[in-house]
Amino acid sequence: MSLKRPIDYGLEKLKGLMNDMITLAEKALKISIESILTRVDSIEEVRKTSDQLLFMMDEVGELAVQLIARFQPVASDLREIKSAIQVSYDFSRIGRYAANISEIVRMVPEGGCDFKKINELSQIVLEMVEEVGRAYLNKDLKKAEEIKSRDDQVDYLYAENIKYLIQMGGKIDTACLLSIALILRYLERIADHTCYIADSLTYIITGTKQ
Amino acid sequence: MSWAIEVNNLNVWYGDKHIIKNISFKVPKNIIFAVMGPSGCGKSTLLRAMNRLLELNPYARVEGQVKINGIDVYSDNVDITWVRRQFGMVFQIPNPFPHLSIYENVALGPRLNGLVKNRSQLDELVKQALEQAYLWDEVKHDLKKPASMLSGGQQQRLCIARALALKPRIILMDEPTANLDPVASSRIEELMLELKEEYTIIIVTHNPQQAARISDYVAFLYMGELIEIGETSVVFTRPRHVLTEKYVVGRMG
Repeated sequence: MSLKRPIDYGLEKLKGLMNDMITLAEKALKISIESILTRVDSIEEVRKTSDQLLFMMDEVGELAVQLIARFQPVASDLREIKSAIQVSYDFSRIGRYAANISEIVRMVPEGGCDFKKINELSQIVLEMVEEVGRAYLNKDLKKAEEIKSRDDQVDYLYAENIKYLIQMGGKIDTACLLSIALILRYLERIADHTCYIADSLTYIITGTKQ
Repeated sequence: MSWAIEVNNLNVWYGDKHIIKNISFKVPKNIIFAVMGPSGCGKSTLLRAMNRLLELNPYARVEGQVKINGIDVYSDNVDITWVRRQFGMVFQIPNPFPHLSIYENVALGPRLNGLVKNRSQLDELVKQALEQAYLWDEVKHDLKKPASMLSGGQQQRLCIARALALKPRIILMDEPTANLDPVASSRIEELMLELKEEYTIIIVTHNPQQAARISDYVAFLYMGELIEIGETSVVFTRPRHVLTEKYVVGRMG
């Protein structure tokens, strides 16, 4: 039989909070993308989830400070706690961008817009968010590296789609053009945050910064 | 909330010297409650006032109430043996009976108090207490050997097993790791966190870091006065009193 260290109880609580944040961030993004594609207004639900994430980020920060004050963590424990503060911010930002995406439903004109251009990018970004959450909880360094490599694909698609939108200037409804551009931008930023989370994971496991 | 212990207007004097000055607080059940403060602040005296151990000191005088389950341990009609049975106590220096076997150290209390009817019940109780103290695996083949053969950390866990064998409600610990190396100290701290599932633990420590690591609630005593009491996570991040702040950041004295 082995006993837990005093700090382990706090680290478990921290992991529980992070787990909840990951679930909420995924949920927020999934609903916001669906709401755009189906034109169902989910703004209130996604905003609520985003606000929850913001609140939980504060909880993570408060708990991290308590753990540092009470247990004087070192090495991997310290890296884990320090990174939790950063990663909780990243997930709260993902939630915020998801809320921004959901708000675009109200910009879409009566006749609707052709959102085909966001399909591929949104699927990749959603997968990145899901995978980085799992990698973070499982401390999966290999997966973290894979996620970062997918960001090149995101940047490429983003640039290509923006070029396309510039070419289409005046040929499609301005509200649609702006809506698509904004969604692309938010998705690209979300992908960046998954990379920051992957960097934090690398730091936790190896102690080196990317 | 049901309280493990309630202390009301407690005062202690040694001769003319006022050691504990009108202290009141309540301790919830199944938590670790730490009493911290600089040397001479009265924390060990406070602990000894709880189980009436101060009565062994002819110069000590106690006023006030210490209630367990609503019963004041200082009431005239309360049996001192009952009071002592409510508390297990662990001291700074591990104090097993050195010439008694490991088994007998744990078995003696239950046997004297008539807690068991036969040998097999006693064997079971000893095993259970040693397991609860996370010592069983280390000593199960050496039960007949003298307690003095154990290391300091193991002796302290034996003392904890000895206390647990009497099925107390509350465990009082007076600087239980002050004489142990860091590894043995960590084992005791880890053990305390397991034990609070079943018991209420009150620990006195002059080490604020230890109070921070293991306690749920903490009281800060200074010159016999209760300066601050609260959740450990709050007291160590935003203490209310300037003296507590000075003490926990190491700027006192």
